[in-house]
Amino acid sequence: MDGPAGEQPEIHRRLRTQTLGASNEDIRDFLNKATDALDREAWEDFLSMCAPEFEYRITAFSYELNKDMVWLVHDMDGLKYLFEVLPEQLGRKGTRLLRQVSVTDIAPGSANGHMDVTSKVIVIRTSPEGVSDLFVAGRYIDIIDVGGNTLKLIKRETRLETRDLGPGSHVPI
Amino acid sequence: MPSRNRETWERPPDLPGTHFIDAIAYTDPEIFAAEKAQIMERTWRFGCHESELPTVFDFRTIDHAAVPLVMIRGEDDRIRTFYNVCSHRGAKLFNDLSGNAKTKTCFFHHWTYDWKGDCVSRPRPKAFEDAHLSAEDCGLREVRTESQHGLVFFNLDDDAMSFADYVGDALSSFEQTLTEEPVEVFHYHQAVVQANWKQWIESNMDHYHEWMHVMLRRTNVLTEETLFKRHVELYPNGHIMFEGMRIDYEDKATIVPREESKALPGLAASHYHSTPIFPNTVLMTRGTVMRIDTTTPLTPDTSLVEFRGLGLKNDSEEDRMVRIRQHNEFWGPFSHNLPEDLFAAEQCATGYRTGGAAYGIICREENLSAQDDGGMRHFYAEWSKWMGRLASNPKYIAA
Repeated sequence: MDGPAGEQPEIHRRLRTQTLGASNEDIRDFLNKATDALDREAWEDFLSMCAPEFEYRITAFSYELNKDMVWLVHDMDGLKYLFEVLPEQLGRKGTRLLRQVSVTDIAPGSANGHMDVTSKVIVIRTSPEGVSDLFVAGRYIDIIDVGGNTLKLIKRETRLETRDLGPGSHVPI
Repeated sequence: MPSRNRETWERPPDLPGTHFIDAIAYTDPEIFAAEKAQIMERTWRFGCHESELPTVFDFRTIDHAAVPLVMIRGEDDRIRTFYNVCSHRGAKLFNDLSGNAKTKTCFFHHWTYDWKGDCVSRPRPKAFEDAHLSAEDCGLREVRTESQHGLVFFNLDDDAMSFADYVGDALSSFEQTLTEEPVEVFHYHQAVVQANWKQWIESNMDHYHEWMHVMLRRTNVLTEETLFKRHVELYPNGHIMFEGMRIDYEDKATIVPREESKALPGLAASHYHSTPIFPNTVLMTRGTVMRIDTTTPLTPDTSLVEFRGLGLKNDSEEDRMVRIRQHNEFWGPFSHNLPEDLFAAEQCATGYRTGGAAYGIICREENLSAQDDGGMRHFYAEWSKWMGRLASNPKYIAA
């Protein structure tokens, strides 16, 4: 990334983005739609918003080990397999996740036509009985291809602040 | 098989007292308090792997062992454990989860301790000396600490038998894996689970539940060979070894391939076996990675489970990532298996907590093959020894 949001005047950032064929609003709209697909468990819709070379990972920092940790890594095939197995996985059916995303930084990426986008994300979990609680807090660190006809997710790192997830999750964040 | 009315539901099963568990063993506050005092504060419990304290003066805090503890690697390379409290006014000394400190100064009144737990400085000491309280009487409380194969255990009981005597040969199946090449912890996460601590331990001893896991069904675990040729080895002092089996990872291309060259020392890449160490530690391996679970009782209904993943210290970056993916596929917080096991433990806890379930059945006898309940009976025999009562009748305390 070029630096934290605010270092570059917004008008310049917007202009640079627009020359690549997408405004910041387009990018926000794209991320909201991708998040909505995950919330609806519309896995095909989500995957259709990802490039074939898409890589997804979940990471966290361990203060116990003083190390970065990787908790999940999948390419497109891995995610497809994960979603294929999901209906057979044992867990509380009817539990819903609602992701609240707030974009904090949009900056040109290192490759031509790519944008680096960072967002805060909190995920609310709601039980079948309708009881909601905070499941995780973290960030999405995304690379988005804005050079084509439609925007595509190239890479997503879900960087978690929350490290006690109770029983965990079969569903990616 | 007819359904039952209240009387027949609540009647103890027509089984030996060693072959079932009364629900109150999981839920009763008095039994829970006795477990903490008579088991958790008197037996050897896993603290950390030596790789978590790689250099001199590294420390690691443990917050859930009845008292706060800190483990420190000393200048002499020995790992010691202390109560993590200042001997002056009881303030917690180390608040970071890990770090490096040659000495530690209490934030409150600036008493300072060295890596041996000696009190080496008290501001304005004269008033203490006038009161005949010498610095020698102000050191930290040290807790017995012993290691085997890089696994560091502590015991709050100063009079307990040595760890070597306590564990016996139970760790022998992991010796080559843990010692032939340096290993290190690359994964740590913890989970507060809404279940009694024994219910999580049981999930690692009850192999009869293997059908529950979609990925075990998909990797052909449940064959005649794995069901009947695996053996459960029972060791003194409540330790158990569930003998290995071969897992068929080849069926599914998208499961991370397990290359033989990446197997941990002494294991085949497709190998699986596990060893529960009484009361609350379980070691297991899936050929290329190891896992260590530690379960700490918080309340009768909640437990803290710590999960560690281990691989070879000298892995290349690429090999480490393969190992991490293999670990996460079955054992991470977003894996196929671990959330299923934790879900199962919490569902069982719900049955007992609500008074719905009256007894747990552990009566399967199959010559100590894989799905024999002998492992769980061995655990509860040891539990009975420390508690002075049977888990099937836990309110009756033997004279």
